[in-house]
Amino acid sequence: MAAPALDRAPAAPRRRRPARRLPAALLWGGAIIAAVVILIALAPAIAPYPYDEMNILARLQPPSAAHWFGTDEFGRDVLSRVLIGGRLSLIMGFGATALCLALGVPLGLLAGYRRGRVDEAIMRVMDVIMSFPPILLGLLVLAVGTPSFWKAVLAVGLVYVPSMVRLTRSVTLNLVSEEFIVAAHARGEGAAYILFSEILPNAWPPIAVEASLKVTFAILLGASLSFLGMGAQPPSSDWGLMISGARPLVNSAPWVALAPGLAMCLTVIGINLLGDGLREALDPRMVRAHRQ
Amino acid sequence: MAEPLLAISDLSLTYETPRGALQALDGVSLAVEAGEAVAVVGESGSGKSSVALAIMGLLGREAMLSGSIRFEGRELTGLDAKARRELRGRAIGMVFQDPFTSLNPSLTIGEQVAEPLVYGRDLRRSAALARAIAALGEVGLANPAALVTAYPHQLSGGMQQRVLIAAAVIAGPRLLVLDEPTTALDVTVEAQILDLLDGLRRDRRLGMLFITHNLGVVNRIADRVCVLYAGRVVELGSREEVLGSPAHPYTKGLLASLPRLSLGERGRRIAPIPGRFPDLTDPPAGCIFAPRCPFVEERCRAETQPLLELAGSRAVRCWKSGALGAWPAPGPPRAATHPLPAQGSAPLVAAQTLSKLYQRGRAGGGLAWSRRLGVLPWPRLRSEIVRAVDRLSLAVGRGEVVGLVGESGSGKSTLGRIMLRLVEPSSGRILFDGADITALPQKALAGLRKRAQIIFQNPDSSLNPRRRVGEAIGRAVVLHADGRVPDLRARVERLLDRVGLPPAYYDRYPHQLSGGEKQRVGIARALATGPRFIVCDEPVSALDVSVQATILNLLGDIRDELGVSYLFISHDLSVVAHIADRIAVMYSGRICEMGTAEAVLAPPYHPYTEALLSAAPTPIPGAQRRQRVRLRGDSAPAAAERAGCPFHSRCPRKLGAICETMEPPLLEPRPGHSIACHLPLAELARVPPVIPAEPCARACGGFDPS
Amino acid sequence: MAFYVLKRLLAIAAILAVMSVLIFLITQILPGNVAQVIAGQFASPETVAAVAHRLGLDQPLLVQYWRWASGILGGDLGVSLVMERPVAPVLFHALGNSALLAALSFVFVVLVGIGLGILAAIRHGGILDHCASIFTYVGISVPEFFWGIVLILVFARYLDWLPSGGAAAWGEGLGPWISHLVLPAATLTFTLIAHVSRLTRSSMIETLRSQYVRNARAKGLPERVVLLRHALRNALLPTITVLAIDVGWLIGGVVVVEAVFAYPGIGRLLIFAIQHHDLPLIQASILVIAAIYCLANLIADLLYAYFNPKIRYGRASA
Ligand code: SF4
Ligand code: SF4
Repeated sequence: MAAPALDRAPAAPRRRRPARRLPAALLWGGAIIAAVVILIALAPAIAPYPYDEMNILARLQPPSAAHWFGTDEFGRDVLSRVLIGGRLSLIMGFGATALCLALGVPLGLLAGYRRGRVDEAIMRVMDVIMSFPPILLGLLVLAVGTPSFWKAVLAVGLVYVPSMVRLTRSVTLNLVSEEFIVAAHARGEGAAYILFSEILPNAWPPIAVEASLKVTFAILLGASLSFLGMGAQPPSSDWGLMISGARPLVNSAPWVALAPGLAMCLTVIGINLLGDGLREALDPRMVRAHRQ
Repeated sequence: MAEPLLAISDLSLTYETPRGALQALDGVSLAVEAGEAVAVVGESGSGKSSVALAIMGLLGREAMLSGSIRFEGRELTGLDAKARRELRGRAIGMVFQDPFTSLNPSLTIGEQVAEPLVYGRDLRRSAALARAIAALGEVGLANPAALVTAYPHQLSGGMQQRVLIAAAVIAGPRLLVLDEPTTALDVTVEAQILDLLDGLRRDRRLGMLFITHNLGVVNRIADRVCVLYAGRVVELGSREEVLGSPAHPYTKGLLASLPRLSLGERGRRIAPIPGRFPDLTDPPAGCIFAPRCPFVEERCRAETQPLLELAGSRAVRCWKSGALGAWPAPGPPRAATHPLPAQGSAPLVAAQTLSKLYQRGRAGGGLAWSRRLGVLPWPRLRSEIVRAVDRLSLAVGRGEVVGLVGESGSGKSTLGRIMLRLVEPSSGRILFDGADITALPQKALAGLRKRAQIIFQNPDSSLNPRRRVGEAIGRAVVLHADGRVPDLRARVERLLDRVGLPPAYYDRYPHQLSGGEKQRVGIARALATGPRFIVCDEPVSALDVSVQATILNLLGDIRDELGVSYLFISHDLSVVAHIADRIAVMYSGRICEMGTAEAVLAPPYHPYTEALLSAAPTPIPGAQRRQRVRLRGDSAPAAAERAGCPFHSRCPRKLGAICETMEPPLLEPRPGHSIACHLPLAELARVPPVIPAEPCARACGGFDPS
Repeated sequence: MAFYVLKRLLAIAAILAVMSVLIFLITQILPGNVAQVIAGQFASPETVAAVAHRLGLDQPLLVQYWRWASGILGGDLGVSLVMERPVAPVLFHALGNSALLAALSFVFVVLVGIGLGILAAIRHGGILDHCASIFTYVGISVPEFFWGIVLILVFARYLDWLPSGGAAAWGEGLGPWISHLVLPAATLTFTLIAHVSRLTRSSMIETLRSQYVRNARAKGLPERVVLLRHALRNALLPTITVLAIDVGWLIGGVVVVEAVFAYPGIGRLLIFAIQHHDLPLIQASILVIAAIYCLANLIADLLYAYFNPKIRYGRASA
C-alpha cells in the first residue's frame, strides 16, 4: 500500500552535502601527534631526571625501572633526554615549515597572479635554489659560521621554499582563470582583495597538505644535519644528535640510539598519517561523491 | 519473430552510497534491430550513460545489476569476464563522448586503430596497420597513410572523433554504442560526424544505440527513441511518434522547453519544466515525474506507473497519456516595455576595429628553464601569432540584445571580455556611453565596473565555493555604494527574489545549489551594481534543456523590465535566435554577417551562416533540410591561411584565388544587414531559406504557438 | 627535439655558472681567516700576510673568483688546504666510491620501487596494496641514519653476517668488497623505494581511471595489453620526474649513510672539509655534486621529452 502522498515543494532546496566521515588516517595521525605534543610539552614536568644531569656511576645502564630507556655514556637518563629533545624536533619541523610558508606562499601567489616578468624572475631564482640537492643546500648555508640549531632551522626552511612557491603558483594560476575571479575583476576589486579574499581561501587546501609533508621532511632533514654535526650542538638532546652520539655505542648500548630513533619514527608517521588524512578530507575527487 | 540484435529487459542498476541505495536504472527495457539506430535521450542524471556501460560490461565492481541484456540471443549479464571482453570490439563497439581524452596520448593513431585486430583477430601487425589505413579512409580522413604515424595531439577534435569511430568499427562489430559522440564538437563538425555515422549504419547494417541529450540530434539520426527520466524509460516509440506527438508529459515538457530555430519564435517565453530532478536515493512514491508534472492527480502519486503499451511499438509510463492536452503555455509573449532605440541613436557600447593578438609559444627561445611536473613548452624558433579578434567592430544599442554566434575558438568570449576591459585589446577603441575607455587605467574604471557586468557559462566555476550566496552578491552592492549599506541584507534578498530564489538562499553555499540556481545567483550578482550592459558569456550552455528554458526566460524578463543591453554570446544559433534583436556571426576573429535576427536567419546568407543554420539540428520531424551544406575540414585557419577571407579554407562556395588574397567587401542586402563575401549579392540571394518560415504547430510538442 | 636539447644544455650551463658564483660567495664568508688557519694560530701578522699573498687571498674578490673559476674550467680544482694536496684526485677517488654505492642503490630503487608501485596499483585495495602501503609509510618516516643503525644492530651485531662499516679495496676479493656495500646500499634504498613506489602507485591509479584506458577496455583488448601498453607508458612519465627528484634525495642519503658506515665517499669528504674549513675542498665538492644533480635532471627531462610525443613532435600545424 502506498504511503499517503507527501506534498513536495517543487523547488525543495537540495539537501546539505551528507556529513563526511573523517578519514581514519586523520584520526590516527591526530591522536599520535596530540599524544606526542602533549608529552613533549609536559616534558620539563614529567621527565624523571634533568636532561643533562650526568651520573658517572650509572653509565650505559640498560633499561630498568629507574631508567626506562637506560642511560647513555655519561649516565644521563635517555628517557628524559628524548622527552626534552623532542621539543627541538618539533620546533625544527614546524618552525622550518612556518618559515617556508611565510616566504613561499606570498611569492607563489605573486608569481601566479602577476605572471609575466615578476613570475619569470621569481621562478628563475627558485630554479637556481632547486638545482642544489636539499642536503647540500642545507650544508652550504650552515657552512657559514659555527653551526647552531637555529641556523639549521633557517637552512631547512629555505631549502623547501622553492617547492612551496611552485605549488602555490600553480594553484594560483588555475584559480586566476576561474570565472569567479573574472567576476571579481569585473566588479572592480583590487589585487589585494582578490589575492587574499578570493584566491587564498581556495588555495589553502593543497598548501596545507603540502605543508604537512614539509613538516616531516624538515624533521628528517634537520635530524640528518644534527647527525652530521651541523645542527644542534652538545649537550643539547636533539634526537639526531643523540643518535649521532650513540653511533659508536651501537654494539654495547643500542638503547641509547633506539630510543630517540623510535620516537622520531613515531612522530613522523603520525604527521604523515595526518597529512594523508587531510588530503583525503580535502580532495573532492577522493570523496565518494553522490553519483549524479 | 526473430530475436533482435540487442534486447535489454528489466535492467536495474543500484549503487550503494553513504545515503542509502541509489537506483540509477529501474526496469529499463529496449531493443535494437540490425541496421537500426535507437536513441536513448535524457538529461544529466537520467542514467543514460549507465545503459551504455552496462551493455559493454564496463560498470565498476560496486554497481549492482539485475535484469537481462541479450545480444544476438545470447545472455550477457552472467558471462565471465573473458567472454565479455571477447565480445567488445568484435561484436559490440563503443565510442565515447570526449575524443580529447579517449585517445591514448602516447600511442600513434595507427596503433590505436589497428589494436583490436592485433589482439582480437590475431592479425599480424603489418596487416592490421594496412586495414587501419583503409578504415581511416572509410571514416573520411584525408591522407590516412600519413595519419597512421601521427599522435593524437596533432589532430583536431573532429579528426580525433573519426579516429575513435574507426577504431570502434574496425573489428567488424554488429552493434555500435555511442555515448554522446558529438557533444564535445562544434555544430558544423557534429553534422559531418552524424553524416558519417549514418553512412556506416547503412553500409555495414550496424545496429546503433545512440545516447544523447540533444533532441535535434535524435531527429537527425534515430529510427526509434527511448526517453529516459531518473533511470526509468518514460516513453518509447518511433522518432516521428515521440518527437511529433509526444505522449508522456516529460517528453512534451522537454520539447516545449527547447528554443526553436525559427522566425516565429522570437520574443516568446519558453515553457520550462518546473521543479528539479528527484533524489534517486529517495525517489518519490508513485509516478517518478509527479513532483514536476502539470497534469498530476492524486492517483499519480499513489500508484507506481508501469510502462503501458500503446499501438504499434509505442509505450508510455503514464496512465493519463491518452487524455492529455498540450504542455501548458508559459504565458503571453513578453511585453516590450522598453522599445528598441531608433536606428541611428548613439550606441551604449561600441567596439571599433578591435584586435587581440596572442603569441603562442615564447619568442626567440630565450633561456627558459622550465622543467618538471608542469607543462614543458616546446620552444619555437618562430612564434605564432594567433589573432583571437581581428579588426572587428560591433555596437550594442541601449536596451538592445546583440547575439554573438560562433564556434569554439572563434574569439567570441575574448571579444566579450575586451568590451569590459577584462582583457586588454591589442589595438582599436572601446566606447562606453560615448566615452573612450580603451586607455583608462584600471583604477579609473569604477564607472564602467558599476554599469557593465558579466554572466558566465560554468555555474560551478562562476561562484567562489567558499563564500555564501549572500556575501557574493552583497560584496558587489557594498563595493559600489558610497559608504556603508545599512539595509544590505534586505537589498540582497530583493535581488534574490528578482532572480526567483527564496531569501533563505542568502546563507547557502554554492555546493548546496543546483546548476540552474547557481546560474541565478550569478545573474543576481551581475545585477547587484545596477548595470546598463551585461555580457552573457554562454549563460545556458552548461545547463540541461529544461533548466536552460527558465534561465532564458529570466534573462528575457530582466531585459524587458530593466531595459539593460546584452551582448549574448553563444555557440547555439537557436538560443541566440530566441533572445537576440540583432545577430552577429563570428568566424575566426572576424564578423562575417551581422544584422537583425530576421535578416540573418533568412537569405541572403553568408556561406558560413548558411552552413551553421544547415548544421543546427532541430527536433521537428519532417523538417529535414532540403539540402545540407557541409563544410570542408574542421579546424580554424592557421595564421598562414588568414589572408583574404578567413573562411576560405573551409568555405563550400569559395570562388577561387580572390577569396585567398583579397579581403571580402561588405555587402548590404538591406540597411543594417551586412555580409562579408566576394560572392555577388544576387547569387547569395538565390539560396533557399534553410529554416522553415513558420514552425508547424503539431511539431511543437503539441503546444499551440498562437 | 634538437633545439630542445640545445636549450636545456644552455640552461644547465647558466645554472652552473650562477651556482659557482653562489658557492664562491658563501664560502668566502666562512669564519676564520683562511690564511690564519694555514699559518697556524700563533703566527705573526707578517707570516699571515705572506701566506695570504701566496694564496692570492689579498686580491679583490672578482679576481679571486676568476682565478678559481678559470681553474675549474681548465680542470684544476685547487689545492686542499688541510691535506695540502691537489683536490682533484682525492675528490674523484671519493666520488668513484660514492657513485658505486649510489648507482647500485638507484638500480634497486628503480626496479623494486616501480614494480611495487605498479603491483599495488593493479591490486588497488587488496592485501598486497595494504602491505605495500604500510611498508612505504615506515619507509618515508624513518631517517636513513637511524635505519642504518638498525641494520648494523641486526646484521653486524646480532647476526654478525656483514661488516658494520668501511669499504674494502678490490684487492681483498669480491666477497669483502660486496659485503661492505650491502648494508649502506640497503639503507639508501629503503627510503627511496618507499617514495618511488608511492608515487608510481598513485600515478598508475590515476592512469587506470583515465578515459583512454576505459576506451581501450571497450575495444576488447586483453587486460594485460590494457595495463602494459596503455596504462604503464603514461603512468611512468611522471615517475621519470620523480626519479630525478629522488636523485637529490639519494645524494642527501649518500652523505648521511657514508657518515653512518664510515664509507670513504664524497659525502664524508665534504663533511670533513666543512669541519676543517678546507675552502677549496668545500667549493669543489659542492660544485661537483651540484653539477651531477643538474645532469641527472637533464637526463630526466630528456627522457621525459623522448617518451612524451607531445614534446617529441610538437603540435601539428593543422
Ligand atoms: S502519471 Fe501523472 S504525474 Fe506521472 S506523468 Fe502521468 S500525468 Fe504526470
Ligand atoms: S569570400 Fe569567398 S571564401 Fe569567403 S565566404 Fe565568400 S565565397 Fe566563401
